[in-house]
Amino acid sequence: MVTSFEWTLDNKTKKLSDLMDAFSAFLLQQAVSKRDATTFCLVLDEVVANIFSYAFTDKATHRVEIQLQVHSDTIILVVTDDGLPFDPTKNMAPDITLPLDKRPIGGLGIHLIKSFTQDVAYQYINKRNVLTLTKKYK
Amino acid sequence: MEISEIIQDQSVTILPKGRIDSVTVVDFEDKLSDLIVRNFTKIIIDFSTTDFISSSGLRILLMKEKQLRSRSGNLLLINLPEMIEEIFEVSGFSTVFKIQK
Repeated sequence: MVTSFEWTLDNKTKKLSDLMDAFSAFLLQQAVSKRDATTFCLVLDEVVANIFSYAFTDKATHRVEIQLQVHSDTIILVVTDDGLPFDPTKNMAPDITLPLDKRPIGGLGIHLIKSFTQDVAYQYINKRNVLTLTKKYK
Repeated sequence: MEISEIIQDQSVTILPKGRIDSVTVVDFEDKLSDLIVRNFTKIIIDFSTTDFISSSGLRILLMKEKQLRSRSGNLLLINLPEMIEEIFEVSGFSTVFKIQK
């Protein structure tokens, strides 16, 4: 059985905390472990924060759509926005061995997304960024 | 976010509760900035009640650690739950910060 969860955010009110509470509660209801639910909340935060920071350069209101599907052993998260085209799968991994004073500020969010999921797929369809993240869970 | 504070002699311990995400990170940053303004140079962060810390939170830790080192101080991170320990490991931050298990 597949259960799903949908939520829409906009770049004006944001309301990310409400989404995270609902998202976490939904995952726990589906018998996803606390650890995996927390990991997925982290991934969701990184994805959405990235979109809010870089995708929208005009003053219009934009919607970010979140769709989550829980399958028997995988969780699939699809995040869609109509912002600037951006393919995070092409992003270079940051050098995580550098000492404190040489650490770059960017790139860490995407690195965390990739580290905590099994697959990250990007498509640009009808002027929309569609990011699909897949994670196995227990 | 709720962040309690315990002062003992010259050091201070803070306990961030819940998620340190792209929204709540503002409170986390304000708390650390406030402690630095109050001249604390040894700041202990107890993560036992923290769910996770996102990259925005890691950035703040990096920034505050630099500030504290320039005043001969540092952050000490304690009681990291497995989840947070893993975040520090994959981001390579385990080697940057002083972490007490």
